[in-house]
Amino acid sequence: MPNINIFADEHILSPAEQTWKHYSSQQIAMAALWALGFLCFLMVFAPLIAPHEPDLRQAHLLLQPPSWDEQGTVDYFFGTDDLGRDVLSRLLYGLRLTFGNALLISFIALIIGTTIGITAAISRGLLSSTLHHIMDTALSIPSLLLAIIFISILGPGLDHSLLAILLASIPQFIRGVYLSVYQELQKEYIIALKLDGANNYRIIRYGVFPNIIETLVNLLTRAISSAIIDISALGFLGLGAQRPLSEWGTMLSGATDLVFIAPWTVVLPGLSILVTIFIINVVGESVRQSVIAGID
Amino acid sequence: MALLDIRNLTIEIETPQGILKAVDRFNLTLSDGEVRGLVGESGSGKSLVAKAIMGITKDNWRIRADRLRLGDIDLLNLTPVQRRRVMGKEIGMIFQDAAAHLDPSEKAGEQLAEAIPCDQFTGHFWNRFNWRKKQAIALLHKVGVKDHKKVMNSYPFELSEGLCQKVMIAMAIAKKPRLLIADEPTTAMEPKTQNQILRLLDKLNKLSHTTILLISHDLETVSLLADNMTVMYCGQMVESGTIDQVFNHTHHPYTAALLRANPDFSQVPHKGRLNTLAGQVPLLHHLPIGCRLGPRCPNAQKNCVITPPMKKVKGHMFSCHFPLNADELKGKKCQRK
Amino acid sequence: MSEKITDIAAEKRVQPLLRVENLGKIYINPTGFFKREEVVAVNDISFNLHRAETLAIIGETGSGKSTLARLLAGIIPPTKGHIYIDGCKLDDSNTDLRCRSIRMIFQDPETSLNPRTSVGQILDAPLQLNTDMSVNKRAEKISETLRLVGLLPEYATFYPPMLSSGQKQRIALARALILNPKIIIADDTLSTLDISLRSQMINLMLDLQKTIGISYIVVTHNMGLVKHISDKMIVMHQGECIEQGNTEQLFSRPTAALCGQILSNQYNMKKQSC
Repeated sequence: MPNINIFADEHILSPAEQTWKHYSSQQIAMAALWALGFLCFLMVFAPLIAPHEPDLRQAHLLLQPPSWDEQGTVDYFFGTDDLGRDVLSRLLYGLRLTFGNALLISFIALIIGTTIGITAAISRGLLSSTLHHIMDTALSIPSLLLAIIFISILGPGLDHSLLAILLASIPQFIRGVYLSVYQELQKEYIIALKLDGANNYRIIRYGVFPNIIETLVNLLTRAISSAIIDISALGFLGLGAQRPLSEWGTMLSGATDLVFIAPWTVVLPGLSILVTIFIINVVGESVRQSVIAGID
Repeated sequence: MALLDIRNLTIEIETPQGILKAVDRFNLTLSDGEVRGLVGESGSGKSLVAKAIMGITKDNWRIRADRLRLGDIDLLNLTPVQRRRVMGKEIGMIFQDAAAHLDPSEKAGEQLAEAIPCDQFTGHFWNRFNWRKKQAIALLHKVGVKDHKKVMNSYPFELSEGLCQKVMIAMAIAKKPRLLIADEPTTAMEPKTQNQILRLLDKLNKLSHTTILLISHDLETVSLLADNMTVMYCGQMVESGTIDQVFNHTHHPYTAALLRANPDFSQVPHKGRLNTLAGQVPLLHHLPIGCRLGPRCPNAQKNCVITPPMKKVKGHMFSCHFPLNADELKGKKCQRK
Repeated sequence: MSEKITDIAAEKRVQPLLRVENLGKIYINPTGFFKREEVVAVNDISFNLHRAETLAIIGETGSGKSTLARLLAGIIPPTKGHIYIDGCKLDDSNTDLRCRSIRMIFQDPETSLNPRTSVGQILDAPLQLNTDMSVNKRAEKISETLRLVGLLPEYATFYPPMLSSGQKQRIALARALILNPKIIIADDTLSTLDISLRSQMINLMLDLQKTIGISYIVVTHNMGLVKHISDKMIVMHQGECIEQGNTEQLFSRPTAALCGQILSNQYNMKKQSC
């Protein structure tokens, strides 16, 4: 009998394609994705786009209002701060410092945390118990406080603050991944895979991993938002990026006494933090919903 | 007046593969105090109908109907707040896997006490103390649980499936609803427990005059309890009538096949073939045009590519171009719907 | 002719396909600081199973029949006892022999298939792990197995959420069949299906038994089913085997009083109801 494929004209979408189809059908999600792309573009090409040097002090241009004000000029689009530095250029370089570093830390924490979480979920007995207790202790302290403790040992500075925040974000990943993987391992299709003779690597890679992507997306979104806030907070407190680095938190701390004379020096960095976190959350939540859309 | 009146209910589901019509022009009329069975294979859409009546729908469902009335309440045009009020008070629902539908972190007694509405309290204010607990114990006795202390103090995972189902029934009748929808309450249960639950539902219907819509895939179970029956296939209603009409004067080939498929193991030889309808229920993405039973029906002919209209003879409804027992229909007045 | 029959009988006496001796499982639960409680889930089960035979394990809930099924499949290790396949003892060193000879179908088809892998990938995994067939040969084997369970080969590209539960159960059966096992364990697989699907699955399983000669171990509480498809039967109660032997004999003349009670409870209940 000739093999007639009656489903030839039907293309069955793989889970990744289904996710993309669901995601791209939502306008807000797509707008947020474009905005995120724009931010990443600005982050990568900041030195080329910024009109001035972020450290260039111009004594005759102190506290210039932004361009939409009658006294402002287009040359200094967002105005200047109290040392005559262009706010727009400082924001763009600060995008690298705050957002770029947050992304970097979160991805490193993702990789380390996922590895340890999966190892913890597969292991039994003493190792599992030890990891559990260490994690529970680490998780009971809020991440910012933990970061401050690390900084007090290591000393202030951007590098030290990044290391501290990295160490503080890892336990969240470990815990979330461990719970997720542990639940998956109880499911019957994993038992079936074990009965097929799969070793642990195969079970994790092909059986568990496609089903925990939703958890990973959720954790990553929260980690990036949290990292942005922590970096800015440490910069604001003077424990993170030190002046004259144009990290957004540091910019805020330097401008607190100018809030009535030159509000743009305070509002603009704050708005940047808000908008960035908002975009990250919208994209992350939409991706998470698209990932679980087909299964429900 | 009919308690539940459904006319031309259509449910469409949006999936990544497109919009699928899961239930197509479904009709149902329930009168007060009746027990009706809704029978169909898994995938026939009967659970969807129950959920549409109850109002627990997912975001990607689109529900359209000419009429969806409960008594004098029009269920289609309610605001969410009004819907929630109707949901708990007028309609009760029990589900298949009882233990999974109870809150695992709360004791059964507490959940049952929570389900009792405030306005049922009658009496003086000094009687208010602990009245919920007493009411809960009374409900448990009503559903046939003798050892109420043990059940009240246990978590759902500690109770057997029969007890969990009884607790769920008690929670459903706590608000004295007019209609009780039972969505496959006894599937995958042991026969002894099944019989207990069915006897309980029968008692509820006879004593409290509760209308019951019993959904199941097992014709036998339904026939023990119900007065009337509706058979669904692939989202369409194929036959409906009293038990006697459907069992003894079957008109639709699908109903006949379902009746035959019930294996009577005493008559089939050991390890012999059982009677089944060939083929499988088509996937929602690939529904046949016209009569959906067409590809599997042993009596299918060329006309079956046109959807058969619903015909009604003395309260017995069926939709088939070439009905079985056709000689009974000759000479009878046939209403087309 | 009579020599042939005695030969087969002799062969049966000599080498059963599956031999289980004194299989037992004890769970140790810590209760309190230094106390331990031993829960006996299964105790001292022994039986033989020959080719193309069906064994039914029945009992009430909590009698240990699911635990016994899992012990046989290899999901949980036994505390004592041995399992022999074709005379070969099963232990940690020959897990692949077990994988290839005994396969299992789970109760709930909704949760026994990974929703994110396609049917083809689900069926490919056991082939990749246990045989060294080339990619083309594996694809051929998958198509052949799908046809054997009554599904079109094109279903290999579908994902489980798109299928109905009857089709999912067939895929589970295909997954069990694809390694040409000698024994298939069905842990209460038919109770969640509708009547017509159940009958179709039973017909399919019986056909396979006739053509390929697979033995089945069926755990169920449907007595009619037990009477129809099984040759031998084990009745369990609280972890102990209270009765075992030929199905027909046990139905007509149960020796243990408890066994008779269980049988009549579950079989005749329906007739007496309402």
